[in-house]
Amino acid sequence: MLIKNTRFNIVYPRISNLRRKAFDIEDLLKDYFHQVTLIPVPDDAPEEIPRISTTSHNGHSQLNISLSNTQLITNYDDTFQGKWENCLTYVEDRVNTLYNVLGNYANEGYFFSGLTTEIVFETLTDKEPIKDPINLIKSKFINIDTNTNPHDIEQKITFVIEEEYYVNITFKNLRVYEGLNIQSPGMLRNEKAHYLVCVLDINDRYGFNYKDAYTSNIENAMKVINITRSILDNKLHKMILEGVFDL
Amino acid sequence: MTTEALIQKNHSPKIIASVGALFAFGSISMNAYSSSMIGNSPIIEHIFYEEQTNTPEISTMGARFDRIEEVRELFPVIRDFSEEELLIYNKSLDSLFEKTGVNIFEL
Repeated sequence: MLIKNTRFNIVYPRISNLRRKAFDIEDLLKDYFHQVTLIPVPDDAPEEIPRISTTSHNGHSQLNISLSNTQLITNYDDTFQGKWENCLTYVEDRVNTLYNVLGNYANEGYFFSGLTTEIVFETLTDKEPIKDPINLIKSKFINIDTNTNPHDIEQKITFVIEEEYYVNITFKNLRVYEGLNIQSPGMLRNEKAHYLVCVLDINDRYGFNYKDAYTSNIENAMKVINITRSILDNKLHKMILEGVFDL
Repeated sequence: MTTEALIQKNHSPKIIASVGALFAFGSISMNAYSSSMIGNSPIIEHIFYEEQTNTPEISTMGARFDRIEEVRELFPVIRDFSEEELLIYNKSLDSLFEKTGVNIFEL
């Protein structure tokens, strides 16, 4: 089980004049991130377009801040990929910092936050490679009868827990190819590997969608991370091996 | 019917603002229809949202398909040159460059 990347988003009501706060934000983030880059878009450009961008000192994370959404994308290297607990501790630490920084500007609180984690399975518990991820998804999660084998498959299941959190679990196959990075006929003829991929997307958007005057906070963000932790710890393998979803 | 058209039909700045804010979260999709009652009753707008359960990604410039539309969003005041402006523009280009006698499309 390899954690390829995570994406943490914090969504909040529009923060005006964000660009003018860029250097204060840079100061507050300097322990983890490089100097910020100001993205030259007009003030009246759509608020979801990033205004401030930076990368972490070691280049694994990219931080984008727009007027209504802050996004931290982290790509994990070989030393982190196999250790999901380290990945989540890293996210937890950075998210804490981000809430501390945003707290100075998000005067109206937060709408919701979410963590998306992409996990690639090369093997399962028996260390045997997963030879046919499509058949695995088809047999465990989708009851279809077909005389033609699917080439690609994707199955998303959404649960709601504690009347605040969406737990989105997507299983799909991923084909990896080798070759030159150019578009040409036959460019995909050398399939290098075929993996089972799970995308976990946990967020408290359900609270936002359904509850009047809902506001999110850092506790909700930590809960989102903890739900992800609990699924990675002991639930995900059971889902794949037995098709049992015990949240 | 486009979303813009639907929103405009409401004639309500409040609704326009709130729907705009919802769209800012990324890809809230919506269907709507109007119904009017007999006489001078006001038009009632029904808006149906498709529930979005995923965490919305921050907007990335690369994800947009229509570049012209993207530029228009970024620079709302953008417009084409008027005929007069186009003449001035072309004239200023002519004054900046010298003809080489080579047509690059024939190379």
